[in-house]
Amino acid sequence: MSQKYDAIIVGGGHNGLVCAAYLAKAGRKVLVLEKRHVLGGAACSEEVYPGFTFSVCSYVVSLLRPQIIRDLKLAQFGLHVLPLESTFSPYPDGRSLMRSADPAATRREIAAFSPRDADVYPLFGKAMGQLARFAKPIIDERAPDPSSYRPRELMQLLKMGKQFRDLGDDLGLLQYKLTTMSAVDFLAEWFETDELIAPMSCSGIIGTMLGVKSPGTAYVLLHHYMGEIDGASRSWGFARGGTGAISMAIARSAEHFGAEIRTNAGVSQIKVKGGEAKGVVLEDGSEIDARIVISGAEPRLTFLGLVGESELPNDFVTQLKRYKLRGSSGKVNLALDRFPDFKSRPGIGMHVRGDISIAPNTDYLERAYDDAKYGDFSKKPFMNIVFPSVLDPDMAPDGKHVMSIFVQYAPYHLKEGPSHWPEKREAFGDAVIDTLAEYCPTLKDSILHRQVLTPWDLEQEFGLTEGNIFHGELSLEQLLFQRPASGWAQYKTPIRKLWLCGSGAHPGGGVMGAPGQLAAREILMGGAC
Amino acid sequence: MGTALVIGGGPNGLAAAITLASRGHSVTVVEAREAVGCRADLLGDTRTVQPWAVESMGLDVEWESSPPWLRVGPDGVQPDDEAAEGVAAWRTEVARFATVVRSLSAAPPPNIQSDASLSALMGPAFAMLKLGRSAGLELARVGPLCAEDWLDEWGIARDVQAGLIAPALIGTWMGPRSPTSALAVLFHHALSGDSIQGGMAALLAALVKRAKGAGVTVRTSARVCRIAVSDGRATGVVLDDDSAIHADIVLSTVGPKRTLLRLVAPRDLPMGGEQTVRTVRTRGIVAVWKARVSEPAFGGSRCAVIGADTVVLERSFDDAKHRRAPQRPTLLVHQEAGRLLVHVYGAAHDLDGGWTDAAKVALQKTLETVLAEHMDVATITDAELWTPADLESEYDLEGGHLFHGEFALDQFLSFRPHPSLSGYTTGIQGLLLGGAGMHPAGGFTLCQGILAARQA
Repeated sequence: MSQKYDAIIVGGGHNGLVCAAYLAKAGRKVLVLEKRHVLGGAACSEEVYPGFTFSVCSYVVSLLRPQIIRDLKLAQFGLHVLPLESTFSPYPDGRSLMRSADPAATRREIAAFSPRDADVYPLFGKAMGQLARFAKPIIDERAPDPSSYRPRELMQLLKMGKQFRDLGDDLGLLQYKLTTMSAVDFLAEWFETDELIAPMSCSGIIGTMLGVKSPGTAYVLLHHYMGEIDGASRSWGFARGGTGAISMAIARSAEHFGAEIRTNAGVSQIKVKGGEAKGVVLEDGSEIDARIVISGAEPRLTFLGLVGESELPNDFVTQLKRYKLRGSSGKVNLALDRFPDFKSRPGIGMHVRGDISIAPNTDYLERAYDDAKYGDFSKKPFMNIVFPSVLDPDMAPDGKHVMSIFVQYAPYHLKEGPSHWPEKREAFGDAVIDTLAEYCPTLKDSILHRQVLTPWDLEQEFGLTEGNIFHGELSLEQLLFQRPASGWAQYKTPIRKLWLCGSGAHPGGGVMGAPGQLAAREILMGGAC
Repeated sequence: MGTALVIGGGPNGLAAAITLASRGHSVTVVEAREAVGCRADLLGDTRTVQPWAVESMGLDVEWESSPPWLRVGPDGVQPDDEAAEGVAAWRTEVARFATVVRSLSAAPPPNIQSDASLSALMGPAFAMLKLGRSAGLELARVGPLCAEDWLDEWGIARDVQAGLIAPALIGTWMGPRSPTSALAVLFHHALSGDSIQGGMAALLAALVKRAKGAGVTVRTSARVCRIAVSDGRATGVVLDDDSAIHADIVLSTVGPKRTLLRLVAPRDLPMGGEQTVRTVRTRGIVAVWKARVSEPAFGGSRCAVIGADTVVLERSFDDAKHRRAPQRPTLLVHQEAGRLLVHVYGAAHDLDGGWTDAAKVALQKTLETVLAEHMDVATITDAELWTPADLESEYDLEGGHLFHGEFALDQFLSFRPHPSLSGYTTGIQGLLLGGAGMHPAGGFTLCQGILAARQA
């Protein structure tokens, strides 16, 4: 009989680590098992090329909850978030647009395209700020279950209803539109300039297999404004040392509170007996028991891969099978000999100290989506770029740079089948570099090393089923009380003593830490361990 | 009771007139074209007409079971689609929601403005409860889906899907892979039932007969150019020959945008009203083609979808989305007594370069190419084509949209066309809206004119 733990957490991604830290802080004996040699899951940093550190997958701190930073004392454990100072959009014709925290400068930039839009921009920001205040509790609390008559659920629903009512007719309608409309339609009610709408709209499609003109994509626009009201904690930013530094800070905090963390310890099975989780079996065949098991892995992998269909109710299996993953993005990481100037705005200025969007117009973005819709990677993709080495010089040797390029669309489901990705990997990388070279003519000559990650690689290497970076599409019917399955959206599962704490649970993906924190809260509240 | 004036002599205009007359108003209908009918000329199908609407007016029509939509694929007419895997089970699922969807169509949508009484919200809440908890949750899950994903779940093959999805898309600006298109498909099929014997022509004749019987005056070739408003109250209309007609009530069926942006002076709109109406989306994606055939086409099917599968359907939408000339439009054919009425899905209202004569000729050629694969085009005579631009200029359809406004989550039920207008009233006293742009959306229901007239 192996040693008994209160809780075993499957997967040492940032959510698993957050959950572990909270449980350990509450005095529970916790073991985290990570398959890879580094912690963080998709939030990891690695020296892929000598001297150059890459945030291999996830590359920005997106809405990391301020209370997590405080509760787990992450600053004390080495977390230092550098703000992303601007959003820069170059256009193929040599023009460009930079939006930054400086309202006057942003106004001048937008006015060069449309004085009217420059007037509207701050008004839009104000309205979105108000909505963000309404929506914020949604990501900071577990999802209510509308099908339940329990007092706790009814109270939470009533509270949400009242908050919605308090928004008033105009903002209430705006909130509804934001939830249902496409990002482009929503923005087009405010702005007239396509060059502005395009880069703004693409935050709505990141990680999804949808286009900027697909209904339901407007909602994610709000996340940017939620970050603003988190205020000084700067929840949108870049972690010094790369995204892995966040995971490392959380891991150190968890260990400080007494959690035990093992790497190179892949779980091959979650042991279930009589509908109750008993422990796990590792890839090396050894078994570890615990009072409860918590999975940070994606739900379909957790249940159909690690638990097994025969242990599960039919209805739940049906829901899991239709749970949409269909990853749509890839990542290209470059080690550069020198900084590749943008044709439209050379030099290392403020414009490259934030994120850079290759999204010249909405038709371009839709064409990129069309390629993916029919099973091909985008010939001219949407890209979101960060230069970590500009923000944190330690990421690369002196004078040299790392460039992180998030690329969409790279559909997991190629028309030839996903297993054909390895033979298309370099062609995909070439499409990315060729497109970028139109904006940065010297780029090709500066590349020392190129790492291309396709959705197939994300699945094989990081356990992201179908390469979905959010553990499941963030589409309307897979959010809130339906994430990952109707009736099972509160971290509990049909298997007693088995819980979920990853991005496949409410409120979903991104480096927020919210699912891990909320899962820990539910587990502790119910006295499950 | 006073005088009422109805703008638009289409089916909804006539229905509104009949309803107003039955409530004691003295009613005049003004129609810009030479004959009444209007949108009825452009719609071939009566299966979504709601029986309650027909009964409430006491129309003299007979019902018959609707002809099935047959799909014409690369291998010709497919008569067995209904028997294909999953279809019967999926139809049972649709029927589960049909009662609620149909009862929603029989009343104004719930008022969700903050001045609404709680009791107004109880109706739909009660309907949901009646539907049952699991069905309510399922509706919330299905609504946001892509139509293709939803039908995939039922194991329906993608070629069969095309025939089920296409008829629901002509009132939207969506393809089968657009989220929320499942809701459009659900509503369309839930609203579908028996058809009227003799089709649209018989329905129109019955409406005209009933209107005459009720003493309604119908003026054709009379175009309204302005709605007169004084002190926040509609007082009548001015025709384009400068003659004025006074009325205590003006009920417009030409669409919210047409009415409030083109017929009402901006100064007469309530604060913010203009901006509100401008945001209503009316992007047409359908051209209409009519012709005679000397012998029955497509095996004599009365309703046929010409399209291979959902990929072709989605590509048709892509053409419209990118404002390209349709390359491979999906066609929805209605055939009756030697006449074809075809909805060409995938024709952008805002085609790049505009709908020039050359663009129109090109579309005509494309159509013939598609049709030639499935019928003898030599049997076609008297072909006529209306591009979305023609539909806008000749039929006053804003954006060339056949339903005065897209079906979308934010433009249906209490949101159609906008929460402040969804009660058929406009903020201008005595001015009502009652066309296809109002609730209920999802097909040609004949409900809007009646529901609006009841607000008078």
